[in-house]
Amino acid sequence: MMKFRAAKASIEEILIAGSADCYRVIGYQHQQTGADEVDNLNRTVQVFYSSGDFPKSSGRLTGSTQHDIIYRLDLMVSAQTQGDVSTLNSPMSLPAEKSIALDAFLEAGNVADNSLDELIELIYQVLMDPQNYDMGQTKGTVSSRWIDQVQKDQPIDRGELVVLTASMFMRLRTSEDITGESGTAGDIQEVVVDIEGDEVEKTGVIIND
Amino acid sequence: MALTNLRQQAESDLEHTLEGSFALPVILISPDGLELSVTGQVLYDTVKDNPETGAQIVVNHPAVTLRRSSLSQVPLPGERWFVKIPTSPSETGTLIDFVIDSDRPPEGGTSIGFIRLYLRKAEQTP
Repeated sequence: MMKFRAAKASIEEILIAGSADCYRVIGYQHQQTGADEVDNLNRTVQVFYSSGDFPKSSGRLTGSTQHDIIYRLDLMVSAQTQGDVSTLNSPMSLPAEKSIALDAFLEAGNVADNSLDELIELIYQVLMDPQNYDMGQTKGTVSSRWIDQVQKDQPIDRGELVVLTASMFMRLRTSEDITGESGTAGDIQEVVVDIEGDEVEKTGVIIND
Repeated sequence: MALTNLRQQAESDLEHTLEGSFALPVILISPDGLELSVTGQVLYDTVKDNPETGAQIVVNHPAVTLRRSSLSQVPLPGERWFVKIPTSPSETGTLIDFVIDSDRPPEGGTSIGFIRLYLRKAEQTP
């Protein structure tokens, strides 16, 4: 398996190990994710191999080749409006208390934005931790890695909820090898050389084809 | 009192269309903290256009339609109201918490006698 595939799997494992139940790492989805599936701490991260660059010298016949990889991490959160609902529902609350509670509500878009910022921070801290420099690969496989861009999208109104997505782009440099084809061992050919006049000691040569 | 024109008749008919057999209990809490208990029409789903694909989708976006003359205080655009409606079309269903969607101001007016409120789900701050 080429290293870009192995590294992708390692990134997913690293994210899973560092999630602390604050987010979920998901794979390919059969259908569009519902807004209510990613609310609060059910927010999701999905890893894709986005693009790769190889230098011209990678066309040579022998040796490994440099691979500059970009992984895209898609983040998704959703949120409801948040506030002191218990005060509003309490029969003991005074109208003035309810008024204050209502006034302090946070809009769903605001809550989603804060949640996404927190998720971006979590992902960045996990992946850029020095312990993960090799991205779960053998030492020396990854020559460098860094998250170079974060891009937030516009909030999406999903009825009761607001959905917010973002993409983080992680660059990683490694080297790839061409595995080629392994030769197949041939049958052993036994050749007997008869020397004229040598009736006693027949000389033979074994040739491996 | 006898109704003198069609507008009065239409407004009077709202008592049946919005507060009749299909009505559900609705509790409102105004920005002043005052609670209003009324009945009205509750629709739980809304057809919208998916902004990503352009296709029509059905989303859980409740809308409540109330008769204005039944409200001692009518929600105005920009005001934050707390609204409780049943979880399902049942008069005895558990009430769930919403606020008026700040992105969609109330629809309707004095001319047509009703007001429609679009709701956003509300949860307790952790």
